[in-house]
Amino acid sequence: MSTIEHALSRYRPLVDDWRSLIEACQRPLPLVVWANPVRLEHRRRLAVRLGYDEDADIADLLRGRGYVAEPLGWIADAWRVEGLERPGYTLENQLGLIHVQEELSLAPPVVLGAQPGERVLDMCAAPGGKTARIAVSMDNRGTLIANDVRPPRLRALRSNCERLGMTNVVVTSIDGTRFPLDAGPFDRILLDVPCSCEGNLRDTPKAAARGASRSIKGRSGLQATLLGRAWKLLRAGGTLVYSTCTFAPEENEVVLDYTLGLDAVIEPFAIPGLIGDSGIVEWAGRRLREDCRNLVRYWPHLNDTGGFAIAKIRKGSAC
Amino acid sequence: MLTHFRRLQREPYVRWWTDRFGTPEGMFGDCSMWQRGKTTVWVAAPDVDPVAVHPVDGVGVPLLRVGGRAWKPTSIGLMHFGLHATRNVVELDLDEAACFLAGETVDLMPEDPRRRLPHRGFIVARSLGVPLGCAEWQTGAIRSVLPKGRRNPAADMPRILVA
Repeated sequence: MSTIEHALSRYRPLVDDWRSLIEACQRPLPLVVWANPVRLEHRRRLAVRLGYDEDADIADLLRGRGYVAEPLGWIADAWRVEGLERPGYTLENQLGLIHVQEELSLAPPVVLGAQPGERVLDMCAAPGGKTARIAVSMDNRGTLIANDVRPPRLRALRSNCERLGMTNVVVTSIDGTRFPLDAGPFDRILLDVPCSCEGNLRDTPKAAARGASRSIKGRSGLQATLLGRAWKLLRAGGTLVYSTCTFAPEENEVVLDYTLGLDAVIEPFAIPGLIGDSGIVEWAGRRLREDCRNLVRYWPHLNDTGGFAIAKIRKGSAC
Repeated sequence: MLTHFRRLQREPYVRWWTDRFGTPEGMFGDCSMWQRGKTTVWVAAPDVDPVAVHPVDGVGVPLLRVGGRAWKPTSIGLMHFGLHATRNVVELDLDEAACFLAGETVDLMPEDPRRRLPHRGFIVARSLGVPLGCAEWQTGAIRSVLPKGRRNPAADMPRILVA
């Protein structure tokens, strides 16, 4: 049994096509870049000066130097790129015309659906790729508080948001479990919690496999505490998106079941073009709340991506 | 102890930028400007509201360092607001741009018409029409003042299409 197969064996009952999952996890992860609309005018000028049409997109510029770029089917202005070994060194990346991100990391901001002018919190924001996507959906308007407490990751968060020109982002470095309540209420909150990162198996197979087996249970307490705090910061009627890049029910449905009360509804959602599995309502002999089945788990083989789990939670009035 | 960001009257900073770089009136639109302490001016969305949160590490993007005798535009600020600069701007070819991005100084030959830059001081370095960041113009040399964390020792530059 391979390291990966061993690390994932506890999920065998949850997966329809086990072989495909293991095979997918043994392939390297495709590289994905997206075009930053904030730098649209820069891109047009660059394209013209390079001899392209004004409307040439990032994929045209990358293809011009021999890279293969295929559009993602489910989100606009994002591509899988082959042959680009050091994307961080490209001029387009340096000037903020593109950002490199794992494909499924683009999904939580889509589910969050933030609008221009809203007050939004990204509670565990570093390194800032999802923050940037939220800022894009807000058309760089309103207030997007991007928080992370870990100093090295905070530097990456600031650096990425500044490079991409996200002017509606306020960066803070506050312990999320004690985030000040008077900073709220927020219309929407993204809680992309620290997790055991099983979904990164394709990126760093051995490290992820070792780390995951050790740290699943240790993370649940922090995740529940963060969710409890975020819930207090959300306005009635607001939307919270809880996401992890891991498969473990202990870090997903069990945390939701333990933390959420009667004023929470886990809503169904689907992203056209992305295939996901329903959440589970029973794990390790424990019955979970029924709406946990509305969590969506994206296994790597379903879309040839990393792994992710996303829940969209609406706050009703307390009863 | 960290102090709060406070909202600024924009006029002196917009005027300085417009005078220095010849950028269009109204380029900053309705952006807000913010400052913590006395050194850096930040530019942000008009309706951003950091007031109820404390401490804050950054609001929008840093635009200008105003702590010294001479004000210095940030490289990030120039990337964002240097596209339409018409003064104090130097256009670099792709090889020079790669040197600039690596943090090196680009020396200009005596007959290079770009030596006719009118003022010493901080200028926009551009290549292919897009701003790369902040340079310091000294007679005959363009010194890269990109922050160390933003330098790129092996820039992968785009290719110009051959007709």
